[in-house]
Amino acid sequence: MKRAIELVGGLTVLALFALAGDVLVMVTGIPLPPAIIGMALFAGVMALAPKLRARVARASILMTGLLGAFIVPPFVGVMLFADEVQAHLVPVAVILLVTTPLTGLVTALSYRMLRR
Amino acid sequence: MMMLTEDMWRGAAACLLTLMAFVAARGAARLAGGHPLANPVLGGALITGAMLWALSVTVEDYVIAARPLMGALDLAIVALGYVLVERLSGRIRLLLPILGALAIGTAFGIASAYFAARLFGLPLDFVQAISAKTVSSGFAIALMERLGGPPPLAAGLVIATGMIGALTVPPLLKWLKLDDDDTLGLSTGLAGHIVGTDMLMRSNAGAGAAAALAMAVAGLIAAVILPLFLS
Repeated sequence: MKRAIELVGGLTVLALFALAGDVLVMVTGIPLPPAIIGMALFAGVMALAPKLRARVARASILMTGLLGAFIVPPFVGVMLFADEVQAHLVPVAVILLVTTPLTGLVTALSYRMLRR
Repeated sequence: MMMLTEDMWRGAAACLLTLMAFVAARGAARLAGGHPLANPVLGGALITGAMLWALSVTVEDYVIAARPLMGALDLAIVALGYVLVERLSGRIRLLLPILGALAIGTAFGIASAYFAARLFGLPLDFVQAISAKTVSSGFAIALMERLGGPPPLAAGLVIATGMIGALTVPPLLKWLKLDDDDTLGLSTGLAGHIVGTDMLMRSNAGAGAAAALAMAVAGLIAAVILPLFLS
């Protein structure tokens, strides 16, 4: 029972920060996804309030573990763009397949160089 | 009133179907020993797609009905802030190299996609959408709306990029022996954003936290760089 209350409390805190992100984006008009603003705010508060951080641990770990389930709909939705992409399928596929791993590699090498 | 309840039932059915497909795919992925191709998100999408086909529901209807999961996704993204703080606390001296590497990586990701698209002579809307592929779909959509590119196409390309990044970057870095938690996480999170973050979070929480950081910071940096290319 205590666990359930802690979980619901944690989820409520997460929802409040998501809402804060929504409100901030609406008020200021910054071109960023509200959830990422919410995440930045949440991280800032968690860094300053270790006690609260312990309280939201259960809910945070549950939600990050289910993240994959929540991105299934956009994966299914990719099929909707099949027709649009078809006319340029080869160049688009080549660009994505070459530049994506290359971008990862450039990031890795930059980090290794800068960390020294 | 009738419409509302019908929509609610539809939404509940779509969410339940999605969660069941994900859990089934995750179970199968565990049996397969965590092979990168046995990705529960990809598997969940394939199972969901097959179910939609069997039930003759269109993908459009499904995506609309499954909207509540997008609200849950927002909570999960906020929750990444927790993981991030756990990962970074006491390691602040790494912040500068991390931000530097992410700035270089984001600039390279945008520039390489932009110039490659120009080189292939793709139409303008493709050039715009492909330039945004390095950032998570939420960012890409927000940026396209501001810069006038096509949001749905950008979202599709972002998801495809996420799958490619999650599947190619970790094996590549492992092969080059560049796969300590931080390097692996930052690179996979930058190239494969939410898909890469989700994948690492399941196998290696430390690298997953670094990936979440990369995803968030890359979006912020892209918001500054992308207008330089597209306006």
